[in-house]
Amino acid sequence: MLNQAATGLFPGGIYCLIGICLLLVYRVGAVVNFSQALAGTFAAFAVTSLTSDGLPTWFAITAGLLLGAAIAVVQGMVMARYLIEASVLVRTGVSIAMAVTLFSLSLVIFGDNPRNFPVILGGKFSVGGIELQTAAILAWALAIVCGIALGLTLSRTRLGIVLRAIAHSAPTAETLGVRTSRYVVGVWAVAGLITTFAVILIAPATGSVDAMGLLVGPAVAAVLLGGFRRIWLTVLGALGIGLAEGVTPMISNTQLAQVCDSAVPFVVIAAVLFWSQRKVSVGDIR
Amino acid sequence: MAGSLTNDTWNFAAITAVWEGMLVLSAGLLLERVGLLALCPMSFAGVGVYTVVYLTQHESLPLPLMLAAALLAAIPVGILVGGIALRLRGVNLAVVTFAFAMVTSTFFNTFGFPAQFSFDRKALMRPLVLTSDRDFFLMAYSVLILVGLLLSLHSRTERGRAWLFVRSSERACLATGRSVAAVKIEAFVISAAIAGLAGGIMAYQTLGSVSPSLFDPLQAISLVAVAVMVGAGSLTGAIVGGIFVAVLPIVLGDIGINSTVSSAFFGIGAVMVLSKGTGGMTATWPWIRRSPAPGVSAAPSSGSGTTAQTPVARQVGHREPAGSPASGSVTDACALEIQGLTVRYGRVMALSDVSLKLAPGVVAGLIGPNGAGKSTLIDAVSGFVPSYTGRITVAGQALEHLSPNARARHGVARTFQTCRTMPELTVGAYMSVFARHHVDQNLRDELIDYFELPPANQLIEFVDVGTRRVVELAGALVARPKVLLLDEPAAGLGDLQSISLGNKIRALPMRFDCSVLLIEHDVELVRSAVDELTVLDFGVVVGNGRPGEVLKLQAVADAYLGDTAPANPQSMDLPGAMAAGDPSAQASR
Repeated sequence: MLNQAATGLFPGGIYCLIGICLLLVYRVGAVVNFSQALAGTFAAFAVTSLTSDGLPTWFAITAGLLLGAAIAVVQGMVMARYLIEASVLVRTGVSIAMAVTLFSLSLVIFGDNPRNFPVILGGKFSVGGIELQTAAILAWALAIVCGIALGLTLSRTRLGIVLRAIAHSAPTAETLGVRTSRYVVGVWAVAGLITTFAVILIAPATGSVDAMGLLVGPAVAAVLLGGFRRIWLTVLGALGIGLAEGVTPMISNTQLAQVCDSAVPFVVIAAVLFWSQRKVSVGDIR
Repeated sequence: MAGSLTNDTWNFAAITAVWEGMLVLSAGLLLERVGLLALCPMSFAGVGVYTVVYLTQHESLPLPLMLAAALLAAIPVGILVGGIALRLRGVNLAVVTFAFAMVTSTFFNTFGFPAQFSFDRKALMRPLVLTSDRDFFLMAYSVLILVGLLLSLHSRTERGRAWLFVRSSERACLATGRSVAAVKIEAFVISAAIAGLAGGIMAYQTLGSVSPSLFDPLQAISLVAVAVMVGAGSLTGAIVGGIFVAVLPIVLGDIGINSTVSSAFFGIGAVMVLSKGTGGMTATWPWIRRSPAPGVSAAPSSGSGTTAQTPVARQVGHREPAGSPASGSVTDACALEIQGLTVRYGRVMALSDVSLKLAPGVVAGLIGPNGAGKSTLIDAVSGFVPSYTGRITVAGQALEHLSPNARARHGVARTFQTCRTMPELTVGAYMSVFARHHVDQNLRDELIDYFELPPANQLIEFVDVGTRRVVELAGALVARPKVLLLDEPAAGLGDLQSISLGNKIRALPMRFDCSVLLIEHDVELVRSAVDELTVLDFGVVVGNGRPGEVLKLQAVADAYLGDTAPANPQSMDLPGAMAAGDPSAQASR
């Protein structure tokens, strides 16, 4: 059973990476970015086009990373330019609309046929009888580094203060002389770059535009476990969700398992949100 | 490729346009009328499809019953999601409904619809009259029009208008005495029913073979993007949206472009609409654009400003004879009695052992520097403070453990410091939401006259902000409250209008049989309008009595000016007026 659970470590690591990027974009850009994984999806498919054209893998992957970041930059520019005074809900609506656009453009340009995604880091190794994928270790290592970096930056550096100010009220930060659009675009670019890497890493295991775009679902669940604030809870949440997804195929009926798999994030999300809102009283509603 | 489109294609697409339009309407009415972003309209539709296909395999019901079954089956799911919406708001709700859409999508893609792959599957049969796609389209289109008409009727009732209150401010809805939970559940029931009905039509369109891929999350959120783009709270918007969704892919396919590009259009369209910065989730298209009532200019209403209506002159037939003030004639109980009210926010004492008595027929004032606790007191009385110690009674009835809307029903009415009126409603429509059971047109018109408001058919969008606050005040009176709590009603009014309002407030108990507690910063207005005055400072009562005497108290001057205020009676009348060049003041620093 441990081996079964361990298969969930790889997706868990990816959810963690994407979740940290989601958290970064939320903390600074004040938006729940439903399209977080889609810039990466588009880029991952572009990578396969380049490799099938004969270009070397390392070149294609680098180009893919830059493409993913570029798409994220465009998204960030739209957010910074037009939606600086919008509410979180409106911005989230925009991210949903962007998700629709990126989803369909990916399908249109690249089609939904199976592709040969390059494996960045293959191989497995055994630790104490449990099989672990090397890529899973890479994902977790990167996730923990990013998490620590994010936490320290936001809490200990001057940059972090500026970012938090922008999140709290971008227009007010503007009046203090902060060039908010640069920071917002920069944050989107960093988050886009890291997420693109994560998606390219797991691309061989997912394969379709749908599945890759929807990686954002479990990632959102992980971020919710941290109340959209706490990084280490996000990390733990991603671990838990990954392990849970690894274990659910053990239910005998495989069709039911598939549905349960997708139900895990929903149950987590609903339960966590309900719990987090339990103290919301009549005094808080506006 | 061109010319390969046949009538059949168009007929089929027309039916698609109808159910897509229904789905857009289902999502749009939640979004535009209640302000709820729910990303699971396809899930409700899926329930409808499932029900019809299931029934086909087991029973054979006529078409109207099948559609009714689809509609009814979706309702429990709607109530479930509506229940979630009671606790989760805004983005939280969007996230949960998105996750729910993902689960239902996986469900339909995994299990499919009943007997989807079995050999002895019974096909869904349309009635003979509706065998051709064109005839079926006409029937479906009639259903869509009917749904739109019913929704339109609903939106003109007080229940329907209350939806806009919830969208604008839940507090505003509670203050009218209506339950926010009831509004949200009602909205979700209607939304799910329409989506379920759309699912039934989907099933009949393809004679029971609905493709599960229609329920993919991408489709679900595309739909919401379209709803945002077209402003789908109205029938016209929904029809436009439905046509858009159904027709654009065909047109694109015909000119050789992959039809999925249409989804990209919807996404970009929605981004553009939301970026317009209207602050809302929908665009303003011609079918939503509103104009001022004919014959009325959009200029601010000019109060006469000079004399108030004399209270005794106007009589209204159905009321108790005016001329004898209500005080003392009906009951001896205080209109409002506050005993030992203490409110803590964490370690901050917002109010500390505050007691206040408001006799029937009296206008009382409450003043104090900013942060003194005046709004907190009104919040506590109207039920917006989660916990407090002390006792509050209205006309002898204790208010503890009553929710804000229950308190409103017991005769507590209030206005808010930040104006909470809805630009989409007319003055008359807004005021009628406050009515408990049926709208008393005479009372409403009398109030409009009394406060010199714009006419009842004027959209609040074209009323200036200061006057909107008076509209809010008038609305609160429609409910015939026993106690009216006013939180700075004159803010935003010019000098003359303020004076006029003050006079009108002074006469309220006589005219409309209620007692008034007035918070104001304008001390002159307070002095002229109220019978008695209470002064708060840092949550404590520092003075209570007739205005002339209270305003002379040292403690009151200290509250406004600080401890170094000179002991000069004249300078205490207007807080903020510093005694210029008084040597004793400077010496005592």
